[in-house]
Amino acid sequence: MSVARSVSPGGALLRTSRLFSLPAPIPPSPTDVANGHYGSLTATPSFPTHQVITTLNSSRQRGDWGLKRPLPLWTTTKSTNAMLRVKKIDTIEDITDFSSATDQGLTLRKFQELNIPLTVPDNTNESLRAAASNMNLPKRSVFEKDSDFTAIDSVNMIALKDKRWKFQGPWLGGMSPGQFAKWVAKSVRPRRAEFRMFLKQKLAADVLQSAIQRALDNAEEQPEIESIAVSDEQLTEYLRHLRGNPHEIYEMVGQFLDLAPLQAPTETEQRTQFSESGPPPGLGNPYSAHGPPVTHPSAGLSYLRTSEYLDNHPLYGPQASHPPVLARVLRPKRQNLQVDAKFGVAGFVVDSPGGDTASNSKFRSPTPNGNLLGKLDVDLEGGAKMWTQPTRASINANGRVSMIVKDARAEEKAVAQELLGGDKIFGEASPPAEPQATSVLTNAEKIRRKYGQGIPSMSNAHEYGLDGGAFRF
Amino acid sequence: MIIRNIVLRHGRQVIVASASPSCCVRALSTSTAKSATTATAPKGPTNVPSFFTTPEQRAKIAALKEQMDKVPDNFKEFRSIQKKTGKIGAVTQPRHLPDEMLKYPPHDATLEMLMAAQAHMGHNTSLWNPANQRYIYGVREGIHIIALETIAAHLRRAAKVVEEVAYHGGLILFVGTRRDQRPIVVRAAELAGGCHLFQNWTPGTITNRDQILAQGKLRMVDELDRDVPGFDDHIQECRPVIPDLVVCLNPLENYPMLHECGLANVPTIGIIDTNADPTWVTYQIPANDDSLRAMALIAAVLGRAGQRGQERRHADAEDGVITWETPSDVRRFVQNTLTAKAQEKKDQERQSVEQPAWGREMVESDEDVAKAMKQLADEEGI
Repeated sequence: MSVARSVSPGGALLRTSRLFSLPAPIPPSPTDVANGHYGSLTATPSFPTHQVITTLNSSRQRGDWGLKRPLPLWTTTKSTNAMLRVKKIDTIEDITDFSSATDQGLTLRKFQELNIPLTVPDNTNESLRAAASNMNLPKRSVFEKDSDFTAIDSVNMIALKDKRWKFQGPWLGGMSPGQFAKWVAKSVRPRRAEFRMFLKQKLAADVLQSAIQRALDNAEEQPEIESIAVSDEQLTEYLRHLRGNPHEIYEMVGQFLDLAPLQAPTETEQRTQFSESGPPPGLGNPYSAHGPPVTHPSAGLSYLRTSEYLDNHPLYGPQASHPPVLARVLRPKRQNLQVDAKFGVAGFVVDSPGGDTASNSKFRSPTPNGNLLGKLDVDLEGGAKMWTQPTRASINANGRVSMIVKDARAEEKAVAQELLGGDKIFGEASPPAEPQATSVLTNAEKIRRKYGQGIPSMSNAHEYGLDGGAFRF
Repeated sequence: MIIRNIVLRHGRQVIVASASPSCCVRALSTSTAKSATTATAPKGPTNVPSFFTTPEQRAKIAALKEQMDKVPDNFKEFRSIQKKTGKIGAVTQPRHLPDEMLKYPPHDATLEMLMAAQAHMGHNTSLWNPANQRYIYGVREGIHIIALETIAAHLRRAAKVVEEVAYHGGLILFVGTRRDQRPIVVRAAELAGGCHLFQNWTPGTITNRDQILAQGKLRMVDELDRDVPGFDDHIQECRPVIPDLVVCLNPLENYPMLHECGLANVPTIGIIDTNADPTWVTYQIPANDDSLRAMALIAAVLGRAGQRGQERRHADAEDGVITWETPSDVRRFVQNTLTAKAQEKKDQERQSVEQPAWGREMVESDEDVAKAMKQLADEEGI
């Protein structure tokens, strides 16, 4: 029990102040540090490390951000959104070290507009394939009870090994041989005696358990705990036994060092390396394939538990799917080099939908979509854009967001475009159809043909349909 | 919102129902009341005066009366709905006014106000002056945090100094030479009835004031700050004045001024951030000197203190209590003038009968000065 320290009124006040409640910056992603993110001019850090602060507009015009001194208006009043990150409140040069945080702040807003939860990563090939198809089952949110572990007591740490995401020890799968040797020399070797004690306790627990079992079987009196003593010979024998049993020793070492679990070995590996017994237990951890995440698996991006809800359209009623979002085609597909297209969705780079889909057809004749993805059209104003349907997102081991999108269906696209002020489809006689199927093209289809799946730029009267209704396609 | 509209509508009905007929019916109702009390009114089916003769008119008036009878009920209903729905809807919260300290200067700074004004944020810990250690509460985010209680205590002490200097008729100079401090010092000087300086201090303005301030204008005022005539000769002779108290918002940039104040024995009040030297000023106020909000708050409190002092001084002067002494050079001038006048009169009336009695008196006290000045004024016919 700690006695509450008496604090002066000013001190108590300061503790509740906004400056004091700013969280300390978190360390950057190890990959960012390794690459220095200087390898590319356009590279961005994996995740934000500093709290974004904002201020009222009236105060912003005066440079007042609640910091030590008013910030220069020239650099802080240009942006529409008042978002800054402060690296240092005062430096020895007598300045406040800050930079704009609009990039990350707006990315967060855009992501939250997608209304998708962060899920436990599932990077198996089967799940990726399923993601592209319609058989994409919803994944579990990281905030579900069976995967959201932030404070665990030592007893449950071993039991929850397959579910939790935070471990004291490193993930061996991500270490280079040099790093491994260094880690062993520095952190593991000095703990030999401690490990012996750990094994001794384990052995004592085993012996006690077997004694209890024996007593139960023979209907004898329960043995007393004090009577259990493990001699050095017993321990040496136990060590010998462990050395010949790789699974068991891995388990013991893993428990002792709290190592992040490794991926289950493939069948071949099992045959060659683990021939004596079955696969090592406890390999079901979702982070075993690529290592545990450096941040919380939600990274604070979204706190939603699910996206399984119905969207209601004011005219058409409940919708089967959520509204699609416009994705920017960042990199077209290169069929010869087997390089897939990359999209930019809500500020994140995502892979184009995998498998044989409408936008990614291997065999069908190139649709407008295919053209859009197939080559880089430099004449297209604003770049090529496509309607996509984000299905799920998760945080990978480096702290980056990996999102999975699929193609938006034609109806979804038409409804979304109408909501954006595009062509009116409500009240038209025929429902919107695929462009190949109909010979009489609606205005919407004409525009879609010209601009691919992207919306018209609406930069001239013609695109607004104001040139006498004559479309010159 | 909908309910509110209903209330509005009801209210309008009531207003229309009550207001539109009332202008022409008021006389009628009073007349009926009068007739009822005097019991001379005709007991007919309607108590409409007889000059409304046609049936149409009578019907119209009856309708109006009927409408009038509804007014109390309508009004009651309006009030009941108003009572039920009055609390529905948005409540306007007090808004943050960035210029609050300039528009509505506070008389005292609470700890909350000081913290909100960022007064507690010191400089980077590497930049500190160890003499400020006693003001520092701790280190946070790489900067020193100044204790809020210390700021408040020192601010109150400084406010007391300003108030008493103003009460004793002293001249207070507010100095803030950073660019954005201009409105702050002007407002504080305006409140305290002092002077302000927002541009560079010309070195020597105190020590070499005979040269630098030679063109400055001087006024001679009485205890109620009214101009006193008859001192033109003296004003031409006397030296430029120096302030009796200097309040400096940024001592770091104004060391020459503070040094001159020290040489001239002028007390100074200064905002001491953790990197400033507290020995440069007489009365320190440890606070963040970079934040304009903190500066505005502190200057406003000091300005208010000066205002209080001036008000007290004027109130006492009205009651005949003068809280300041006439400077010795002024007193000497008055003495000399009186002597010269007496001499002149004596010369003029050398052959005459008597000398004026008052010329022989010595001018010693402030009352004497006042009396002598009054006599001078009377003599000159002013």
